[in-house]
Amino acid sequence: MITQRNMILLGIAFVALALVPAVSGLFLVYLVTEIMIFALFALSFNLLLGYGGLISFGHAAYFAIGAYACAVLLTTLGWPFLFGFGAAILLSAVSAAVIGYFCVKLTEIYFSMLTLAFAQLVWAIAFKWVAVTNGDTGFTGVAVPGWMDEPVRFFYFTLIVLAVCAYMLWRIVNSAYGMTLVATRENYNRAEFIGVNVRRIQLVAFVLAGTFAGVAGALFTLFNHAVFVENAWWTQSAEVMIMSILGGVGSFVGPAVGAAILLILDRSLAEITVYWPTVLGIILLAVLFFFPEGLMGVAKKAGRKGK
Amino acid sequence: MITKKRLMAVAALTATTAIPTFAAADEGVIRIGALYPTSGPCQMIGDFALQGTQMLVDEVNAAGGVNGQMLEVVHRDSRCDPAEATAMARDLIAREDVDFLVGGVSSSVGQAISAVSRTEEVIYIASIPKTVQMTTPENLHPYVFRSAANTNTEGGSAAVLADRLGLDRICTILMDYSYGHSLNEAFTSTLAEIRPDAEIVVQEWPQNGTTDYTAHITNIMAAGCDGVFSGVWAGLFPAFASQAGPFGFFDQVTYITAGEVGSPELAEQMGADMPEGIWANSYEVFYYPDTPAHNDFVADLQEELGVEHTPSWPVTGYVALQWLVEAMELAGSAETDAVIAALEGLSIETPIGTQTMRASDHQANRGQFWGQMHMSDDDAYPYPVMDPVEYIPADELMD
Repeated sequence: MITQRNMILLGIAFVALALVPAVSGLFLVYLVTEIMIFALFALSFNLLLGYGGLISFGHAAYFAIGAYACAVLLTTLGWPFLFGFGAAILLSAVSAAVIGYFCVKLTEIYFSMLTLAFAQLVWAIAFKWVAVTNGDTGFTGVAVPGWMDEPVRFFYFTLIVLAVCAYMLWRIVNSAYGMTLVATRENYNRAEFIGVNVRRIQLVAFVLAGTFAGVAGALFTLFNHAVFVENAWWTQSAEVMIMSILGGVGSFVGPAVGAAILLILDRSLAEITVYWPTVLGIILLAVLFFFPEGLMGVAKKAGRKGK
Repeated sequence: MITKKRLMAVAALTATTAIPTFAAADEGVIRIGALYPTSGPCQMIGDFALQGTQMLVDEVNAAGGVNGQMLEVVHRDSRCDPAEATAMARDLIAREDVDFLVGGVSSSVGQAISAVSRTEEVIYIASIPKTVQMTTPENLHPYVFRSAANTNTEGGSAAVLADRLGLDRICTILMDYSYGHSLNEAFTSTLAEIRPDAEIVVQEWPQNGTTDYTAHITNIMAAGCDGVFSGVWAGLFPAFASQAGPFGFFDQVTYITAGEVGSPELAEQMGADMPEGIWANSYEVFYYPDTPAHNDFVADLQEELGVEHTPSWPVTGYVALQWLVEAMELAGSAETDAVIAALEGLSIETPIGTQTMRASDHQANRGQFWGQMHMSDDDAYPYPVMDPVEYIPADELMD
């Protein structure tokens, strides 16, 4: 909910993040930048999963489209940064609109399978269209503009983009449209009966989610100076789903927290054991069995008990 | 809603990451960041390459280090995934304060580490990634060097063999991803140069990740070629061989394969299932060449790994680091620009012979060992070996 208190808390979070480069080394600057990019990706995904109840298995497609478009427009075509970055996001939105148009015609598992199929198609194009994407060798040497090609500056650029996008998403989910989207999730038929064009509502959610995923993808390209076909592979779609579930789909910030936890776990576990996938798997099992509402769900419960 | 408790949780989380184990920046130590996959599909290669790296570090340190400074390896698992490798390479530089990067297995991981080395201005020695694209003019930068063979050398060597074996009607079977396509370019262009009358009859492109090669096998057998150039690399070859064998495939054609099918570890894994008489390659084989330097290396590796017959991959990690060590000794420092200057045009004595790092494109003239697979005569080693075996030099084939 948009309350004064929540606004203040988000403001504090923003300021806390803004202080990271001032108080820490380069390592944390990199890690937090990466977390912010994936937090945005997860927030965009949760518009579908958490608010729309739409289980997309192919959300990586829009991340990858944004990432590749940004790389190609800035590097191969040499567009100025703002045009290239903007066009990459626009292209993600258009792709999401086209793909979403077909996907929202289906429901439940059929919807999920179609999103997966389209995402694999995007992957196949990235893999096969070697002349443009450089195939599975990866697109490297992205022409990142000089003014942001510095870890701390890029950190702040990412932070500002994240803050703007998160604020927009927050306004969206708390708007009349957002409430209607939740209504379609809660009861598809009832929403239709009262005159809601459910498909259109879902399509808008699909396009919005795809657009913000495209922003995250474009940021990812700028961050790494590179983009790889693995970014379009279905495991990337699974990863963003895991982030959302881990953090909690029932909460606005849950997926962002999930992204942070997953990345931190991933990095720290890899240092401790080569069996990190097993440990990660066990943690996920535990979350799914014992905290189905995710970590933010746990926090919420604890908060209620406290009162 | 964001409650105080939630915020506390976030704060606690931030706090745990804010206490990174910052490496003690010891002035007397040169830190080498090694990026090898020690989990996932490339694990075996990564483990061996890392052991080779560690072996050289131990040798160098036992002899007093480099310019009086000890070496230390800091390893991160690159997982055969470019995004992961990018993060890990950054991690090594930003948190572990490494002076150099070595490693990588797949081409995309090589490209990913190269991208980080370029922005961070840290020297990277690619020990295994083969894609020529890493050292082509649009991707080359001052900080990337490759000690591995490239796809030009590998495909070109196969063409040299095809010429020598007198093959005129050749089919190819190459995996449909960048490695396969790069091999194809190198093989066909070299063949056109040295054996212009040879004809490429049929080209088969199995999907990467496929396990069913039957259609490709029958297409090739129906095409009536006398030779086959293959990029079905070591990890995929056992499945391919078990499907092609029953058709009499390997009796009908002369099979020349890239992708380290001739490595002792695969030969031991396959045993009698290794088709007789195929031509294959390897980065190293413990039984050749019979030189003091190579024999010493094998003896040390036997001791290090506790095995009688040593695998082929450790040499890649060993030589990659050897380049850095010798360049630092020549430069008299571990300072990046000085080491780059020393590496360009440097020649070193590796366990498999002299190697030179070209100044023009930072590519070592690394060739590979090629030979015809036959069951060994040695009762103590009842596995296929390359016989005859030779080192096909890279000098004429790298471009």
